[in-house]
Amino acid sequence: MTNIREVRKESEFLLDVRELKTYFHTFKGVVKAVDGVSFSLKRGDILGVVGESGCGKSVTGFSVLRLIDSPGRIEGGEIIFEGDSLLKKSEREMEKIRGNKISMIFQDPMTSLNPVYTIKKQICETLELHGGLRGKEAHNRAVELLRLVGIPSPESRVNYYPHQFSGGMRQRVIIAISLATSPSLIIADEPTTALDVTVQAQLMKRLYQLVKSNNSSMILITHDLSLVSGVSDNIIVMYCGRVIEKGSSESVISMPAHPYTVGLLESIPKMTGERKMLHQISGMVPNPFEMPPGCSFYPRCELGQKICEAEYPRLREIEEGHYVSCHFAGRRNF
Amino acid sequence: MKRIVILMLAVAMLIFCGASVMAAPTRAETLVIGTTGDATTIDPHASNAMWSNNITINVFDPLVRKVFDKAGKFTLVPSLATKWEQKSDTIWILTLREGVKFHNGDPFTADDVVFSIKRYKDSTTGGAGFVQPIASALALDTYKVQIRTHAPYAILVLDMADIYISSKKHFEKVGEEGILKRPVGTGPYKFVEWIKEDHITLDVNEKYWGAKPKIKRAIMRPLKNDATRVAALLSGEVDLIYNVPVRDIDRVARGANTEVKAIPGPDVMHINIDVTRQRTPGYKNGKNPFLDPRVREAFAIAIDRDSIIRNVYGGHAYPTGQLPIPGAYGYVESIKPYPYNPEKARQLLKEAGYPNGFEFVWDVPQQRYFNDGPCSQAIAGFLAKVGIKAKLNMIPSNQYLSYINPGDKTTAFYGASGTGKGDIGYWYNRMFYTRDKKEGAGGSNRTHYSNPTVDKLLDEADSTADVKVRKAKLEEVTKILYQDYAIIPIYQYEEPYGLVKGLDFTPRVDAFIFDVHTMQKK
Amino acid sequence: MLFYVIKRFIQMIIVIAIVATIVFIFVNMLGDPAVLLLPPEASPEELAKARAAMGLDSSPWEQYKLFVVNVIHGDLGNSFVFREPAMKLIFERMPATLEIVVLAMFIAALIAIPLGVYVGAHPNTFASRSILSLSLLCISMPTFWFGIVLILVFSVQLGWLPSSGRGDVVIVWGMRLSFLTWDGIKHLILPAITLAVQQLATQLRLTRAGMMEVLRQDYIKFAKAKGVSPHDVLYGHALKNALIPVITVYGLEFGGLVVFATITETIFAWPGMGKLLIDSINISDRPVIIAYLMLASMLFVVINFIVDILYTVVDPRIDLR
Repeated sequence: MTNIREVRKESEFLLDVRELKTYFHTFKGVVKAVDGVSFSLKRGDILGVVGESGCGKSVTGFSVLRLIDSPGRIEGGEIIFEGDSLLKKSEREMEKIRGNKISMIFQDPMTSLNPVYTIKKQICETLELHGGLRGKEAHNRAVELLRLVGIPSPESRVNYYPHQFSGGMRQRVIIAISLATSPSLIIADEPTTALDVTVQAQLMKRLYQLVKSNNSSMILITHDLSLVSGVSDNIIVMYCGRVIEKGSSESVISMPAHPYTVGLLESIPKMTGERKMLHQISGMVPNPFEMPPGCSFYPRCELGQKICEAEYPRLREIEEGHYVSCHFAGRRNF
Repeated sequence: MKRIVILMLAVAMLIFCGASVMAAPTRAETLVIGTTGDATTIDPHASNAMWSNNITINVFDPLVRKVFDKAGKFTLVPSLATKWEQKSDTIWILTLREGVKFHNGDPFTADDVVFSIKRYKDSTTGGAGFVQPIASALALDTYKVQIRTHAPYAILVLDMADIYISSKKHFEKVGEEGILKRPVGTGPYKFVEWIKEDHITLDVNEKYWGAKPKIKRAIMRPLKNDATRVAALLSGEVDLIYNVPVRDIDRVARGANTEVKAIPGPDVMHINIDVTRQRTPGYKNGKNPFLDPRVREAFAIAIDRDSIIRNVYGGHAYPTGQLPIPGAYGYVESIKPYPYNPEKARQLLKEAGYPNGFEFVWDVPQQRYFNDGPCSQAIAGFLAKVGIKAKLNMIPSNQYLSYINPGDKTTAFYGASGTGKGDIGYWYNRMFYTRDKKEGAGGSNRTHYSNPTVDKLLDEADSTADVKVRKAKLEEVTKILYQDYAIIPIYQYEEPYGLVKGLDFTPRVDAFIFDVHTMQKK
Repeated sequence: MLFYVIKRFIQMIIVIAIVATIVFIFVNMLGDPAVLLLPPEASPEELAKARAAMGLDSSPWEQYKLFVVNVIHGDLGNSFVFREPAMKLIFERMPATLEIVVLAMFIAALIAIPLGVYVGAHPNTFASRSILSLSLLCISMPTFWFGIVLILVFSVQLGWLPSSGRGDVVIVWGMRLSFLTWDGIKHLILPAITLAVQQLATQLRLTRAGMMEVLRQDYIKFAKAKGVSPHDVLYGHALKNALIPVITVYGLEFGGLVVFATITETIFAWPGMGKLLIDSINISDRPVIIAYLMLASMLFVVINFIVDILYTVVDPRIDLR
């Protein structure tokens, strides 16, 4: 297998995450929430991070911003952003990056906004911190941002408190805040999951347009493969803290190699084709404190063999730019 | 920020505009007294509560003043009355001091005496029961007053020591309300201010008719909490405190700048027993066992007074066998405390037909008297040793008297008597005169004691104009009560005072302790 | 808002009326004031005379009717002991109490809130654990004992501060105030600390609990993701959300201290209101007890009202209706 890192040119990538390890040291033991995750992101690209809840995809997102709360800790790896190592930066320097060059959209719009402050104050806080905008200027920019994310009559709504908005509206506010400083990277953690289905598509479309028009990059973290497939350039699939498959969106969606990815794709209802029972991945995610020594998907895998139980399958390239971590993937049709 | 500063400045200015600073007295010329309670009124005729009395005695003059010697004995010396003559059994003529002026400049005359006696008699606060023997007071001329008593009354002069004179003119000018704001007397100190629960300040009356007081200013501060009062003395904030708690006596006595002066106090703790009624409310199984003198004696000798005084009061009390304290009319030198003899007590109970003892209900207050809980429990313990089971009926302090006074629920109770006045007659009349026989007598006879001989002796004591006869009659009553075991005295309190070294202070056994003009600071 | 105020005012009247009635019934069960006020050897005639003077010679029902009529006319009666209007007695004592209570609550808040924020934000440090243990000690420490210890150390041993009383006062609009003279301030310190200690501990623990709860919220993480500094996250974003329970308890404790600071007032011979209540109960001074508890209930209603208003300031989601 070729060493990928060597062939890369640093400048080509906005973000390069290498062998990231984020562990949680709990009373019951160590949880390896992110265990050796590597991926990279080009400027202007959108990367989809897919996996079940608890697979470490959100922790990966927070790790990039270095927002891991105790008892969690980034144990190892590298995060190179715009050529600089984020893990070597001081907390002060990180504060200047957060919300400025890298901003984040949270999963639950109902709880992400501070209930005791007006929308205006929360948008202007970012503008003040990073853009140095104050007073009238900040106000105008806040109104403009609200208009941009599609909030009607933003002039009056800017003075509202979060509880006066619906969930969809709040998520628009959050998007407005995260776009306020034209960041080069937006990490969107399940941005539409908590919303009504009708609002989801609308909002995703808006977010996509704004990211593209802003020429920002985005990491779109979701459990919903179908959401990712439409917008992202590349996809990584995570399971139990590890990347089990990655590649361009087309190749991963059209030619999924890992049995887990296959399972995920089959569990999505299709509008076309024959009607059949939706696929279900049997079994349970393993207990994080008792990870099997071999492939973590082995207990649920239909292809499982002896070797899977004993040895963890390293990522290997099955076609150009498409990697998979499975002893058997691509070797058999299923 | 700027606005806040301006606002604060404005507030500060407003405050200082409305402010006036109190002048601080010089500490050396000032005597600060830590008391155990605050006055309830500054009207001398409205109350005989101890801490009101301590304003009264300094601001007002009595007709006759009690002067105490180091041994605690008192003599009566002329004050506003310079002479008192007995014209007949019921008529007395008082000659008043001339040239005395009230603090406001009004001259003192016979009208003021008549007015003051009348105010005492009209008092609704019950502080002046002692003037009731007086039928009338009449001004004969500017400096002569005639007092007529209802019946011959031997201790009128003693009572005159408690009759304080206020200005009639002043009262007519300011009325009841005004008197409560600022008392005007002829006494050695002038009233300055009374800040409730904080302090009372008195300043020397430079124009006092008698000897010039040495102390320029007296401040009385109510320091109800024992530990605080002691701390204030030890830290030099006060010069004299009343009632040093037993546990701190040694500490104050050993202090570098402090000492303790203790005298036996006016209160005698005692148990009253129903020795009269056939059926008594506190005993369920038939005839009142206390009708048998042997049972009463057993009761009286079962209690080890010395042990109680040692263990409950740290040795700071005196065993006694009678209610009057030494020096008071009615005190009998020869009467000693009932001796402690549990074997004999058990024997007596057996003879009386109670070989296994008996049970009765004993009414006891909760925290009405110092250490009343531990003390009554100790007494009950001693009684139990000889077989008398006293079931303690603990009654909250503020309901105690209402509960025991009618006497219909009470067989025995725990109480304190006070003979600070120097005469036990009044107390005997209330407590041991047969109930409902004579008006004004037997009202507090809670155990329904009834002894015709005692009634007769008390009548005689109250109808003689001769102090010697009165004394003899009262002593006779004391002896009968001792023999009857109608009352089981336990001990006489000690009153310990804490004071800074060099303060000339003589404790006195009455409710007028702080007669400041008799004191001196070195 | 106006409607709300009117509603609360009517509520207050009802509360006070109920309290007054209940208290009236209860004080009638206390001992007979005449017996308590007069010397123990007082005769039945004297007692009867005193009862008549205090208006206790009619039936309880008659007394109650008279009481209601008088209250409507703004007259809460005269103290049996002091023979002065009960309300006047209470208001005379109020400035003294307010002085130590305001100072104590100020000290408590000034120390408790920053410490509570710190402990809530860094629950696992040694300092936090020590502070927390110390606060538990403060809560369980009897006021009585603590006050005496302060006196023994600072007055008797060191001689730095006076043990009791108010010291030099300045009279401002008829109120005697200690805090405007240096001597008065020295007198204020020990009682205020004694009162503050338990409040401090309670408020610290409440702030801590509130902070720990709030710091788990998404909007805190979102604020951090926005690049807000840790200090601003704690004081700007978290504290305001954590304050609701603190304000509630603060208000109630404030009211509680104003009317029931009895123990501290007794220890430091501080001529405040709490002592007046206890003394009045001990001698069954009914008009004072009734007036006092009516005032106390009014105070609590007013404090609750202020707390409600503060809620809306702190949390826009709360709507007064």
